[in-house]
Formats: sequence, structure tokens, C-alpha cells
Amino acid sequence: MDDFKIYKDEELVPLFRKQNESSDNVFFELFQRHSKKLNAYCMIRVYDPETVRDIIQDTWFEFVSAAKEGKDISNVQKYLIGIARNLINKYIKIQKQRSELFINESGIHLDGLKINLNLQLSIETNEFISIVKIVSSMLDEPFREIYLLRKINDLTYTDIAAITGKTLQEVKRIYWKASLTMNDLLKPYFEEKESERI
Amino acid sequence: MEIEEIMIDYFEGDTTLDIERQMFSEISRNDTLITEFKNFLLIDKAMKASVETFTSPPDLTNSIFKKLGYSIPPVMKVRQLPFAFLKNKFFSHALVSVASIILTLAVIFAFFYPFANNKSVAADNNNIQPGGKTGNNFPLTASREIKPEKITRNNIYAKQQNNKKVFDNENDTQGLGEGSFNENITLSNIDASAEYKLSHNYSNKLNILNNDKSVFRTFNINYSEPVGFSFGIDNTPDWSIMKPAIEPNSVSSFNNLCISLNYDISSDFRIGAEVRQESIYTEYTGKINSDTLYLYKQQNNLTSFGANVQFYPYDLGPVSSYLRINLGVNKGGFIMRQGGGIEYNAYRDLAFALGFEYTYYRFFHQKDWFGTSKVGINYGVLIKF
Repeated sequence: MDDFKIYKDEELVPLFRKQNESSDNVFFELFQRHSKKLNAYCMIRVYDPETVRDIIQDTWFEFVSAAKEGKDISNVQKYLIGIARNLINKYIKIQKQRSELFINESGIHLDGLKINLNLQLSIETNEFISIVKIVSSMLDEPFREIYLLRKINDLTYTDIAAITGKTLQEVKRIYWKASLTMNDLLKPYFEEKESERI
Repeated sequence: MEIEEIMIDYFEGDTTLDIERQMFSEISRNDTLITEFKNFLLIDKAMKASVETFTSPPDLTNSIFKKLGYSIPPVMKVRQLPFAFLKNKFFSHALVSVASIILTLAVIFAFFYPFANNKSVAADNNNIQPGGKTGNNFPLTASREIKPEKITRNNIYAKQQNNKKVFDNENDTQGLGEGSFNENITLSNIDASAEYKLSHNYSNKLNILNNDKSVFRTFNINYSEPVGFSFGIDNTPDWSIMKPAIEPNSVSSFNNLCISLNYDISSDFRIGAEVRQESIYTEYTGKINSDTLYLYKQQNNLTSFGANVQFYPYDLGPVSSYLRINLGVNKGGFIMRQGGGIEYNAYRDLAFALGFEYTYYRFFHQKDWFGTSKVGINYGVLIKF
């Protein structure tokens, strides 16, 4: 059995197009590589867990269909995000409302969906990681999306500009603003930690 | 461009050397900027690390694979370099511990070897000839240096056999045969030869004075000698060869404890039975609802029952080396162990053992067989009776 871990994305996609006994392994490898970043993008942009599930499933389904049709997929992550973004935009359009985010002492309320903040913190080993995740989800659009695409999905400014239809300068400006907002939102946490340290 | 924007570009790898020089120069003059820089760095690291927390839930993964007509492939076997397990920090710690124990034992043997150089002056009982061959009736003693018998596995085994014969003779209705030196023994030489051995037992001495042969026979029996059985208690820490993806949620009481009962069938072979509490890490695949393949990763706590065969190829004084094969069973499957080690016979009825072993565990899930293996050390005490 080949170890597909050593293959690059652009080598895996052509292998994936051929239906044979190794297709399972090739898809498994692509899934392992890209699913977490795709999940992060969808989960932070859409709050409803059921919708997130549907969007992730449909994204993979469209990706496989596109690959088998022989479409040019030079950057798998960018392609997946492109599909997911279209699906999320459709979802937002259908809902005709943007999810509202409120935070109080007992946790986060997202359009009636309640997430226990304390439980989340206790599940994740690194407190700061979970706080950063929550704070990034507090950014307004389009700051949240562009910040995620750069920080988590590792896309270049050019790729982000291509996906979002914005100019390169706009993308950079939005990203700067998002980074500064993140820093401002986390400032109380940093100050508290600093005072504990002293 | 603001200094904060330059910092953001710096973390994106979007700055030139000149701009970086200017940035660090400004930062070095301003404590607030140092804090800002640190905060950007922390956020950057946390965001990148957060990706690992977005793992797909198993039901979503299965749903995607099922919808697309793929199945999750069985685990790709991790390529293990020979002796790669030595890089494992737990194993390297264990190796250091074992090496320390061996070194300590070596030093102890070198300085305190209790038998080889321990020359004593003692009455030579064998020099007294039964039946008055000394020429007179006075007790005759001779002094010379003798080497006490070494405690080795072979000697202990020989003693065991001797004890069995003595017990057999006790049941012999013929008693001691004619011509046996016990027939002609006289009071005086009994005193001479048996003085220190019987002094603790007044009743025996009286009987010997009465020249009672049956009691005299008991004089030859050393009840403290083992008869071939031994009871062992070992600690058996081990490490899975496959790198565990999960840690045990909890371990049962007496984990890594092995209790065994053994019997010496010859001077070179020992057989036995054991019961052991142990943890075994397994990874295997299985289908649920007949079409979705799941990958299971488990840390099993199991009680295993097994049979041992132990072979002793070499003896070095009280230290003997051994090779062991064990076949066992637990509620999950079958176990085969092989290993070796050394046994230090500190006393006739007490030994200490230190060894290593390789364990292969074969288990069955649904319609398939799977295997996993681990290596371990064992150290313990052996009580002989």
C-alpha cells in the first residue's frame, strides 16, 4: 500500500480522478489534510451546528464531483473554501438574516443556540486557544472571514482577493483592521495574565 | 503605515529587512510596543494551533465518506525503524533504570559475594569415621578450611531431589539397610559429628542417646530445603510498540502485577502458571451498520492467564540466566510472550528476578483477527518451598 502522506496535493488530485482500489486511501489523505481548516472556516462563520454539518458535507460532495469532472484544482484548500463560501452565502441569503452573537456570563447565545462557554473551556486543554477562537468569531464580516482565511486556512492575500472578489489592497486593509481588533478584544485577557504573572 | 500594521505584516512574512530594522528599533524604545508585539505573537500562535481543535466528529466523517461512496481505509501501518522504540522517553528511562539495577547488582556481587571467599574454620564431620575407625572412643575433631556449598540453581535442585529421596526412605518399611554406617554408629561419634546440628533440639538428642534409628533418620532431613515449588510476584511495566494515540482513562487495581506458581521439573527447566493484570493498546477497524468502517483505538485493561516454560542455560554462581516462553489467554484473545533475564538466588528459598519480554497479542473483532505487540521489563521475587 502506498503511503500517500508523502504526495503533494497536486499529485493526489490526478490519482483521485482514477477510480481504483486506492481511491479510498487518496480521498482519506486529502480529507485528513484539509478537513480541519475547512471545519474551522465553516464553524466560525456559521453558528448553527446542523447547518455547519450540511455545508461541510456538501462542500466535500461538490469537491469530489468537480475533481472527477476533471476541473482544474491546483490549490485544494482554496477550492474547498471557494465551495464552502458559496454555500454559506446561499445559506445566509436564504435565512435573510445574519446570526447575532451575544455573550453573557453563562455562555454564548447564537440565534437561540446556547453553547456552554465553561464546558467548552474545560474540554479544550489550552484556555487561550479557546478564547482566541471565541474572540475571532466575534469579529464582524467581512473581517472575520478574511482573518480566518489568512490565519487558519493559510491562503495568500491574492487567493483571498480571488475568492472574495475584493482588491488586494482591500483585503490587506481588512486583515489589518481585523488583527488590530483581535488585539484590542484580547487586551483585557493579556492584562489580567500580566498582573497574575507579576 | 502605522507600527502595528508593520507588526502584522511582519507576522505574515510581508516585510523587508529595512522595515524590520526600523520596526525593532522603534519597539526597543517603547515598552507598550513590546507588549503589543508579544500579544500579536501569542494570537498568531494560538490561531494556528486552534486548527487542531476543529477535528471532524466521527459521525460527520462517516456520513461524508458514506455519502461519497468511500470507506475509511484500515490504519496505514506506521513504518517502524529498527530500535525506533529506544527513542521513546519512557523506554529510555526504563533502560536507564535497568542498567542502574544491573550495575548495582554487579557491584554488590563484586564486594559482597557471600560464598566464594567466605572461608571458615569448622568441624569436619566427614573426618569422623563411623564404627570407631578413629581407633579410640574419644571424639575426634579436625580443623581445616572448607568451602561451604554455593547456593546455585543446580545445588538447590540437587537438594530438592535429595529431600524427596529422604522422604521416600521414611516411608520405606525396610528402614536403613544393613551395612549402612548408621547401623554401626556409636554414641561418642554421634556427639562429635552432630553436636551443633542437634543442640537446638533436646528431644532429638535424647532419642539419639537412646540409639533410636528412626529418630536418627530425621537427623538427615533438612525440612527448610525447598522441594521444587516456587511462588513469584512480579511487577511488569511495559510499552506498546505501536505509538498509542490515547492514554488509559483509568487503570485497574494491581495493574502490571503478575503472580505465578512454578515447579522445577529438572535442574534446567521450570514450568508454571501465572495470572497477570495488564494494559494492552489496540488499534483495529470494524463496521457498524454493515457499511461504515470505524477505526477503534483502545487501551484495554485485561486479566490474562498463562502457562510458562522457563529454560536455564547458564549459571554463574548464585546468578542464573533464563529464557521464557509464555502462552496465555484473556477475554479478548490470545497472548504469546517470550523473553529472558537473570535470577539471583540469594537464599535457598528466596530469589530475585529481573528480565525483559516481548508480548504479541492476537485478538478477534467481528470477523477479523488483529494483532498488536509490546515490550516490557519484569522484576520480582520468587519464594521457593
